[in-house]
Amino acid sequence: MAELTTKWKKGALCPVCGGMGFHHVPLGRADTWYRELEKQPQWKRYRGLPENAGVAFSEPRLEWDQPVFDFAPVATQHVRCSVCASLVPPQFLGDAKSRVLLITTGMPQAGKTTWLKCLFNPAQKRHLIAEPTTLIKRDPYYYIEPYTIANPDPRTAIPILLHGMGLTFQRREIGIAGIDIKGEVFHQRTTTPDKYLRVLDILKNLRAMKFAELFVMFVVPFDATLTRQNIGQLGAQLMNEPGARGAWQGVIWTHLDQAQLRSEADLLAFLASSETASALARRVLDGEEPFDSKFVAAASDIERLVQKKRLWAKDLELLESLTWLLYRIMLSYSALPPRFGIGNVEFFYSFQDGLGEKLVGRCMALASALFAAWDGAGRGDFASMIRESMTPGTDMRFPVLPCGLEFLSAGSDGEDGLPVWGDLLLLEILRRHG
Amino acid sequence: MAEFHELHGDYVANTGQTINLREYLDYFEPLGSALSRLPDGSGGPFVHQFTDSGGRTIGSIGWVVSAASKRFGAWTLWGMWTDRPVPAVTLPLFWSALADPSQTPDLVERANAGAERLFDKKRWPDLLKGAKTFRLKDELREPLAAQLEHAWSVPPPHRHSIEVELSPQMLDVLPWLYLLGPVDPAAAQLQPNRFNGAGYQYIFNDQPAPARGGASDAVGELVEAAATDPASAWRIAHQLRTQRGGRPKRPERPSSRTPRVEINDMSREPSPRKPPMLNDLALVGKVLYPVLVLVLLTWIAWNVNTIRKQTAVPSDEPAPTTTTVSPTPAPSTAPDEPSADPRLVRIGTALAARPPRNVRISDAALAEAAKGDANTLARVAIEIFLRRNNCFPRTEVVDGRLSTAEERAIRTCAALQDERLVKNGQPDQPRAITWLEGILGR
Repeated sequence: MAELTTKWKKGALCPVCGGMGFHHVPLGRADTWYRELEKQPQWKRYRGLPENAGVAFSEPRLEWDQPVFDFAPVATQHVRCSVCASLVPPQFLGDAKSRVLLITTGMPQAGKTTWLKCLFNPAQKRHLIAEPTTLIKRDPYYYIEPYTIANPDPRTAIPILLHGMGLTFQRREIGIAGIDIKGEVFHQRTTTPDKYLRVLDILKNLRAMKFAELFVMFVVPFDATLTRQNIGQLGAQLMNEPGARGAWQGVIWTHLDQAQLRSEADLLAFLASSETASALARRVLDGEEPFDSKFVAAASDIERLVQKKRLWAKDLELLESLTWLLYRIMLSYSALPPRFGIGNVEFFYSFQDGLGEKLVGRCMALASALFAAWDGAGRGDFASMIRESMTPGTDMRFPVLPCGLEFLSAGSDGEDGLPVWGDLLLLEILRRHG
Repeated sequence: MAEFHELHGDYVANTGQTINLREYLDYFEPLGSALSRLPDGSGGPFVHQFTDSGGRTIGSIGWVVSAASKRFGAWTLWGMWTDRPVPAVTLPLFWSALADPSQTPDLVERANAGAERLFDKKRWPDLLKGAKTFRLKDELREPLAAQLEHAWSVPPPHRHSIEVELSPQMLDVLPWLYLLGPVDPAAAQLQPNRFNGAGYQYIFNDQPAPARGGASDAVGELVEAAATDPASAWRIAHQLRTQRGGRPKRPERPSSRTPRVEINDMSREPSPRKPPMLNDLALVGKVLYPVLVLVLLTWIAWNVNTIRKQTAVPSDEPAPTTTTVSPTPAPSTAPDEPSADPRLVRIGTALAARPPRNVRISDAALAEAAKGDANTLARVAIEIFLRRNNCFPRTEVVDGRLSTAEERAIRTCAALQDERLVKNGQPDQPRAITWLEGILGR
């Protein structure tokens, strides 16, 4: 098999330092990486880390290979920036016309890493909805310095991780160049100002890069108490200018599985003005199939009722019941493709003229309305984003990708669990990019 | 002003890792990373020091444990810190109280009360003699000897940590290793994670430490001395260090802001002048050194010349293939060395004699397997399985090590999963060896 090599074009930028020089590096022993790093102080400096601080990564036995810092005598797949010595995934260097930049950020325990891992490698996981499919080919870049996609990250001081994934769907090839920003950077901005400022620089570099689409995803966990700090309270500077061309920012709303049905009666009373919406709620409450010919109308009615109501802060229990209802519908969706004997992607795109897409679209619209209600009942951290998305011309009223973080079997290393509907962003990327 | 201060770090839900030395979180964060996969509460001691970018040196000592129940990779630590390197004698002196977080305030109080003595290296032998709680238990003698043997076998200079594998029950070995090991305790660090610098990284392993042959005389003497008088054992260790590399080296100075490292020479009585005998020896050394260097250079030149002559002669024989052979320890003649499992040796020998068809196995792997090394056998079994089941190219040589590509193949090979030869991505040793035994017996 031919050795993969990475090429870069004139004008390629390093997302970390904005450098324009690159060189190939070979693979070497992972267990000496941290020693070599000592000779590359710029690697830490461009991440806002103190020069003498150690950089930990998976311990204690490192029996895999890792791209090293030496120059490779021949072209390889692995490329480092000549300025900051960062390992730059090939997707950052590929053709700008098929490159999607994906920025994810969220507070600790928001479910960001779990969601990303699901995006990279669902084949290794027991996934509730999107089983491995041959229709979408994923080719993740294996190294997420200083980790690999096969190794979960122990928490470290490193504020950003670069990752890349190639997607092939039918004849389209898309390179997803991703940057994962640790939420602590914003939370601890006064104690670790260097990291905070570096991350701002990196965001500036990213926006200077050419790309087909820019996705900025804020990972926000569901919090019925409204006491948990979220990234929206910290990261206003992350948000794009309203109407920025090619930019798409949204929320990955995680932990929806924690929403509970607080009052059946209150839920039904709230939906009583719409017969179809009440019927849908009743079916879900009775454990029956929620989807029928009136599902789209029913979901639209619920969405309308949620948007119509004001002062949600006084009715948080009802709002939680509605969120529970949404999550139940999402779970029921997961059973549909197998019932028709087809894969998740086929069901989403092609079955009955894209039935899956319509159902998912309705659920996402409902999720957006509910998220906006929670946001309005709380501090309104995402209000600016919501307003922006309501401006004429935007195709989604408020982009919210709902997902649970339902751990199928709790593993000690967090590898076993998966976010329900983790693939939705993937499908959204393909849909928009197509 | 107090020299020592309490140190506390914990994982706070929805906030992340925290430490009361807030601005130094980046320096402490790696400490607990190695414990990620261990259950809650597993961990051990640390002696850690660093110099920040402003030139301030922080020394710390304490205990760090996994807080996996709060979050994967989270840790909790407690102990004390000071504005300079922690005195070498601190770890043994406070060892008995270090693991208990409730004793930390008392620990700090005691350290502050005795700070003057702690920072005066001349008083360290007396302090150590007076430490009633720091005694080497009989059951620790053997493991300590094994660990010391291993540590002393690592050649200087010790720029990187020496890895030490032990079971959680054997943590009591660590302060002794710290005291008697090849790295001067005044400069040594002790951590569960990887680090750059001199010291010891301990790795938890449920299996007993591999036999490394019998203890050398020097190590035996160290352990014997440690059992009776820790201070004298320390002195012997210091002499060994001195013999080995001259005066114990300070860690490399990355910048002019590197902290001063106190070197404990552990001399019985500090003397202002060298005795005449030592002066004579130093003079002889000065004269002999250039002569020895000259002889060595001549010898190297002669060898290089011989090699050049040999390579210049054309040969009809095919060029020798280069095989990477991992260094194997010299065979030990120690009578108490446990012999390898005869079953494993038998399997290893059978593998060397009748390797599976169409699978190439490297000589190094065969040599290791023939010794009955269970780890090598299990890895070789997995590698063979992958090739026989078309999960990995057959043309690739089996080398007893799992490469990245092989690890990927392990994750995707359905046949391997069905046979249940791997557990958590690593070879399930008993099952893998049994499988190997099965195919070799056919």
